[in-house]
Amino acid sequence: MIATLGSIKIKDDEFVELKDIIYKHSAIALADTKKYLVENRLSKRLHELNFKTFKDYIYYLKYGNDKAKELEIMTNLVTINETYFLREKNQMDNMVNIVLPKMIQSGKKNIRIWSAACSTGEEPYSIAILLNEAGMYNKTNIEICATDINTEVVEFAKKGVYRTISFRGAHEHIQKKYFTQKENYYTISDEIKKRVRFNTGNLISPTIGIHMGKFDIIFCRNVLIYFDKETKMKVVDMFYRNLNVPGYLYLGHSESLARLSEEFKVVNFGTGLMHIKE
Amino acid sequence: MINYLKESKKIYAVLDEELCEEDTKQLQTIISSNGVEIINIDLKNISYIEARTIENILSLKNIADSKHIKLNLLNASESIYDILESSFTGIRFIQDFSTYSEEELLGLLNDPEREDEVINYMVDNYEAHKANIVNNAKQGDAYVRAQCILIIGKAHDISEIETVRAALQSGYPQIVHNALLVLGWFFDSESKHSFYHYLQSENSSIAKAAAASISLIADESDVERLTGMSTSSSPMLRGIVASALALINGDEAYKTVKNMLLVERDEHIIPVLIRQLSFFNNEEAVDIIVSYLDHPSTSIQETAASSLERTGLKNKLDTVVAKIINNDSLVSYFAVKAIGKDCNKDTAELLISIYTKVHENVKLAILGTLGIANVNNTEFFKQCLEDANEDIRKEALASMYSTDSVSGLIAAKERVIKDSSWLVRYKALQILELDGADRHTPLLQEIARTDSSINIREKAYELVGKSL
Repeated sequence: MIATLGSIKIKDDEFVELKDIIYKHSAIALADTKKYLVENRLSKRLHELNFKTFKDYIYYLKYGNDKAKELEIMTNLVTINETYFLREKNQMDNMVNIVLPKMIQSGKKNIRIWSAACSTGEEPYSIAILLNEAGMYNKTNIEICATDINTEVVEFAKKGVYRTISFRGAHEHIQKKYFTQKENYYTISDEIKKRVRFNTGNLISPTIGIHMGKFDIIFCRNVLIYFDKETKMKVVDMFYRNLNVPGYLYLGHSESLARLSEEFKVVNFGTGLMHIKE
Repeated sequence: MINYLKESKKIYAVLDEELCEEDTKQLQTIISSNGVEIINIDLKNISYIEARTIENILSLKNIADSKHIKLNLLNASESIYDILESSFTGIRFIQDFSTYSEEELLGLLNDPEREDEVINYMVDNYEAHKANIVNNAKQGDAYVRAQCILIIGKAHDISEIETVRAALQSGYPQIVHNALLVLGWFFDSESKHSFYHYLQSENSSIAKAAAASISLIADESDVERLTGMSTSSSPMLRGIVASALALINGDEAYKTVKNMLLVERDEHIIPVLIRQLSFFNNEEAVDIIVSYLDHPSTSIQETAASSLERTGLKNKLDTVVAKIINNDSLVSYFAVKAIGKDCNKDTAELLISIYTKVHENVKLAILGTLGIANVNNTEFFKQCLEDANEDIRKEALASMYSTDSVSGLIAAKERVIKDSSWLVRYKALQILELDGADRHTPLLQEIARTDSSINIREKAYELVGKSL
């Protein structure tokens, strides 16, 4: 249907309602600046379903026979986040060089790390790569769990095949050492792939804490910004309950727990912040 | 640390990591000098923001406000924007790519959320960036190369046709796809043989791009050639050929697509062919498409019904209306929408008579269709305004206003206050906006202050914000 495959424009009231639906399903609060993004990412889906307006699609999400499945598809399309290897590396360096050696020194035999919104997998694989570079896997048992609400990105992450764009923050030697290039695609080595366990997980689900279990370190970067204050507080509280003592929480550079939680001790390690459960 | 540039009555200040006290004082001194009208603070280098930087921007804003100087924040990243948006009111956030270097702009082509904006900017300022664009279209990183080819095409720089032709040899699908599209935009008949080669690509995006480009340069011989390919054993190619023919259009192309549909047995391709047939303005096509409303496959019925929305029903109105009650709800939904402007008084009465017997989404389609019919159904809409379903009330309100603006406006003024659903109140606000927000200022001001929904308060504020 080439003749009509353009982007379908979303009207103001349709956008406001779609934002509301997305928020109720995933607690992600889309900014008004995302209108264009929504049009771009959902137009193809509307064409596939033979819809000509976003109103048709909204009614399909509310009244269609497969509405639950469609809500999942829509959330996947809208929530995919762009990331890259070794993004905000300072925090990972702090974990590898300061936090983990302390834990090992204190006699900890098993360490669990959670990448709580892993998107297409660059973050948890980066952690695994840095742990490998530092020889940590020879010193203790480390398990990396990675989750994301978006089932498609989790499948993508499991495959571990990336484009050049994912290496903006990585040194060339890392790319060469841990990835195999085929044309313009780079596949992560099995050595790193086996270190990460991926699952779908919604941070606002009341049972996610129970399913995931206790962790020593949690990375949840550039995700809280999408939630409203009440949801942020619930998610942060869940993190607190799911951390061992001591437990470490790393957030994005522009994120803070101010007015969300007073339980964590905030430590400035020079090039970033970490939040500690003591 | 800041770098700043004074340009006539404008100040550009590019922040690097943070805005310290010293920098703030320096900027305060500069903007205090006579003649400054605008200060632009560029945040493109800021990946995170500290509280003291926010405080310092705020103090600058206060000074700017007192001197009636506009303060704009440029190029805030999404996370910074989220933080600053909640800290400031009355400040403008602007995306200004002119402050980016060539290298930074090319880097942004890799950003999926911004690439379209950057492409449009580079097209608008093509001459200034041409050397870099062409260079990267020849030998850039694969993805950037593909984007630069697209920019050449959008700027219609036909002098670079050889650069684009060369890109057809790339092994990278996105590059080939973009090159095919651009050569079509350039009406490059010399590349027609390549278009036909790629029409048979196993990559459907490439094949569709080739079909689009063939249609742009097609003559009668192309319809003949495509007709020859229409019996291919490859189902995908049959679908692509039909797409190309629909784009070329005309009687001969119609005959081929019609014949393709009549003999097609693959249930994945039949919907593609039905859709393509609907792009021909032909009464016989409507008859054929309507016949697929009885197909055993629900998805084929749905495609047929939705395609009728494009063609209109012509002489098949009664046939389609008769199928609304006993069909799959999505088929019925599309069928009702297909009635559209053909809805006359008799059809409206028929739709109202079956209203209680159909699924909720079909009721919504009926209300929508009655809203564009030239028939007064105000009493029916009034009944629907009492429905428990908020979408029904919303559609009824919208359709009442479309067909009877006086009654619709009265209902909107009532609903905007008393309806329990923000969706209905939002629709009511839109009706007040259409009527002229300035005629309802006190009501809108009250809503902006007191409504329980943030969506409603924001919309009301948008309508009367300045007078609050």
